[in-house]
Amino acid sequence: MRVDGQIAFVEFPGRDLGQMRRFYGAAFGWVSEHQRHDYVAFRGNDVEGGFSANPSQGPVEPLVVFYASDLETVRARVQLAGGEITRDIFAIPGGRRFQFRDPGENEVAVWSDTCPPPPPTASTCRVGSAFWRPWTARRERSHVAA
Amino acid sequence: MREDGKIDYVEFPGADLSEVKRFYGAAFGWTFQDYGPAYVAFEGAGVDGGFDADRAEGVAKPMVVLFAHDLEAMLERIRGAGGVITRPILGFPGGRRFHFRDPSGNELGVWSET
Repeated sequence: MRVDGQIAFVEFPGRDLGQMRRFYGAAFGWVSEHQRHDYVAFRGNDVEGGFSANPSQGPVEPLVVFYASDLETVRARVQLAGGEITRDIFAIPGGRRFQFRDPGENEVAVWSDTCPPPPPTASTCRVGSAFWRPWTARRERSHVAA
Repeated sequence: MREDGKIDYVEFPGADLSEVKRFYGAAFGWTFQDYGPAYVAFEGAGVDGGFDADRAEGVAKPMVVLFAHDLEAMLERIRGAGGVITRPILGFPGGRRFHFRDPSGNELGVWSET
């Protein structure tokens, strides 16, 4: 079950995704799956995760991602507590996320598989993308554009 | 139960630990345990982890740490699969660990209680 504020996902930058799958499979027995040409998801850990070969979308260093059922509320709470938003809410396959810098200078992210308060639009909320399995646990929550 | 090769721990660099505790407590409700003046562990965050304020010995950026029952065997397996050992096995209060670099250049840790 996903819980607000908990570590849900770890995303690593990856160059050669085939090589990354072989390495993590051979060394640790991780099961992984190509979800797009530039993205591999892995399972078998308590935390989900992925390797991203897209430098414009993916992280430049390992990125720890927390979960939020209400992204706007958590963003407000992060700002109130002194976190600095480094990348405001943007759409990802299966949900939305934002990134912030904590007081220790770490850049971390928060994601949600829920849509913003209505009216959601197809352009801002794409929950339930068919090729993004780890993120689609709440596919039934997909909204229809108002 | 802890299993070989699984993500077990996430360690962040931390400068001002009281500030870090205040922030993650206020924003996400994590709870903390101090280990000396330069380290604080967190709980209630889905995965266990800590903030390390030791500039000389600590991590430079967020580090994902895997678990291994047999640290030496895991080190050999990583070498065999093409990983590069960046920090040899060293002891710390509570266990031993080493660091390695994966084929994309990410540095991760492996730790064991024994």
